[in-house]
Amino acid sequence: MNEASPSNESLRVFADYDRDFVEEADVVVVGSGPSGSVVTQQLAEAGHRVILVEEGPPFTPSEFVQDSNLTMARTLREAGLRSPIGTFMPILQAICLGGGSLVNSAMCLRPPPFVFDDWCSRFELSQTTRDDLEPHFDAVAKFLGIAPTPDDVQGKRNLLFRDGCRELGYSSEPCERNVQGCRGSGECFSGCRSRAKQSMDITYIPEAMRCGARVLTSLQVNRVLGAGRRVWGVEGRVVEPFTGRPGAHFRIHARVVVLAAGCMATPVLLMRSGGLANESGQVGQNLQMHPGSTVAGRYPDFVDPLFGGTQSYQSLQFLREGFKLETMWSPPAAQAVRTPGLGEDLVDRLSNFNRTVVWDGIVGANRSLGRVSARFDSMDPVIRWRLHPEDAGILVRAIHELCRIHFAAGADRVFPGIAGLPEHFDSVEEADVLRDASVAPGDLTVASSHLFCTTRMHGDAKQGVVDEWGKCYGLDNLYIADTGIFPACPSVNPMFTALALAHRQAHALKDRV
Amino acid sequence: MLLGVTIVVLFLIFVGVLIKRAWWGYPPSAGQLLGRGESALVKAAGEAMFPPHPGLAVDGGQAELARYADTYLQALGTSQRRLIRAMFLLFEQGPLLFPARGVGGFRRFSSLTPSQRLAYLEDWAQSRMLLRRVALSALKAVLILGYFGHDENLRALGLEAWEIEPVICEADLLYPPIGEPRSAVRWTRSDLNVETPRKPLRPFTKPAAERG
Repeated sequence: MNEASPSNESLRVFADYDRDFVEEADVVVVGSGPSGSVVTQQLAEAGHRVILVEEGPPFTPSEFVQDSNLTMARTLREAGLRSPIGTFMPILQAICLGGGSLVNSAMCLRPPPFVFDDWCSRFELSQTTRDDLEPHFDAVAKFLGIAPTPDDVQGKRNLLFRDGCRELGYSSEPCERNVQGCRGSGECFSGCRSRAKQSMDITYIPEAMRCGARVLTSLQVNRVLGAGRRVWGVEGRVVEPFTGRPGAHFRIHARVVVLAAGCMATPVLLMRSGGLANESGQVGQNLQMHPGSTVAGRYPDFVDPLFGGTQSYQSLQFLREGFKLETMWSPPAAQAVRTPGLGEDLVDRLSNFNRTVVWDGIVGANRSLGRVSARFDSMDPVIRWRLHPEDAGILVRAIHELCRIHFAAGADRVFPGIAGLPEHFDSVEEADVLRDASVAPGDLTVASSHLFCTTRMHGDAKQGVVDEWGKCYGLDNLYIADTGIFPACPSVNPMFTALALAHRQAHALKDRV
Repeated sequence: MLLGVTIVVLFLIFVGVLIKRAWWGYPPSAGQLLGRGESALVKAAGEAMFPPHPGLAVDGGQAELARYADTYLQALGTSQRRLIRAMFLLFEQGPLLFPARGVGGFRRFSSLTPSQRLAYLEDWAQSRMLLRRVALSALKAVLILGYFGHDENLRALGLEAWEIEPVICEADLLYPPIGEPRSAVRWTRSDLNVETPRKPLRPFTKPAAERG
């Protein structure tokens, strides 16, 4: 790590912009989420003049609030109310310096080799095996201090998951996370007041600034500037934090443009830039997600759910069957939102919330495809996506397994959260109704923050938007570095894969700039 | 002629009744943005959803949900605010389109009897129409976050937010409070308080079976 002290001279915040301006750089990176931050730091360290542009503001610990509605309104795009047309579900995407890393649960998993083998064989990739990426996973892991969650901050609700899995003979393991000095506050989703989570705003971004990168926040990029095979910069407006009210205009000229604005914003930006990088017609297509659903279990005794890592235990037992199981926690009221019932039933269940544990399952929904398109009047995307009945079936299977694990861990009542089925089960036999239940996708309550593939990499320029190094086909100096370049679902939490791919891209870019 | 006049008069009476039932006679709103009707809806729905319970400190009527909803609306952008307000309107005026069960069901939600309100919400929750279920889930989500997130309810269950002194790390010396200039950074090097190692918030006891 660079020893020089960072200075905020290289930072710009909303209050700094009082007029239109133009900047110059070797590289402009759009988006400060995990991928954009790594690319910025690596290129700055290599001596390039880099400008990192972020639409959201930087947060400090005293600005993290515990109310979930307010947290979502302040840190998520469209206040957390973004949803696709097709299957209704909240799509959670961050708008802040550090992107999703500020408000995610910090899980860092390397997808198993079969995921990359599948990517390579189906999408004609030759250098994206797990072995190819291993050095990049290692480098990122070392920088962020990624390690398994220790037992002393697991808390009872995570260890119950482990116990239930053991009872059923399922594999389980503590989650590896980019966290140092976790205190078990379970506040990952609302911002870590203990600054234990090594989010990008306190790791890669300050390090990039030490290396000379400039970080311009509260800027919304509206267009990539270019003609023919080359782009020469980006332009857009200053936007006020939280309201998004537009202000001064800006333009940044650069020899290389890296779009890391995320799986939704990057394709919209390409479309609004005159259909850039879309000779294949794949920009905005192939949208995939990891839809997830939660299952609550009520236990006979107080389980102290407040204490413990947010998502600290998981089971990869069923990964090949298409789903992953994990623990989860968020502020209690947010966690309680899916509590079934109304009136006396509801308050009775809420009154038991200190002996309630919630776990979730996510599905690698490869059959459920959607697309993203641009609105005429804003940079927010129009999202079309529908949960495929077969993927819904896998999610029901995940819910069934979560019910079984709850009962194996000692729960006396489990809430599966599926419309049209009983609100709760009191035994594993009752839960077995899920084996043969006919469940329509609309009966499931799902959410997702894992989104992929809208600018997918492909070995064939006619079928993908970027090559294996993230370079856009048909353009000499436009790159994409975010989860949009994944060719398919990674089946596990995607941040670590995005970081490793970005690290690899940055290494290739160092010589090309 | 007489028939025509009668029809017009009846129509005007109907419109008058509709206006009265939809918009007339609300008490003042509790908030800055929340309208009178919205305030009444939030209060009425909160009372129906969250009756008193011995395990919880406050009920839906005491949880100041209208004030909470007003704060939430203030935090939203224009289009999201419109969405939430449309949802409030849908529930408040919904019974005028699809009357609630029982006598007097053709009136706005906040004017229904407590049992009619609960039955009305349950109809939405159990509906086979996805959109109705989704709308109910959205209303319930906003209200649960206000009701269950109420400090006294959380404290009653031992779930109140941790009292954590925010940790200031080196990166925090870079960032000013949101909306303020860079010169307004709150902290200096003397404020850095990243202890190593930071202690878990609860002491850890290894289960007997694992102590060997």
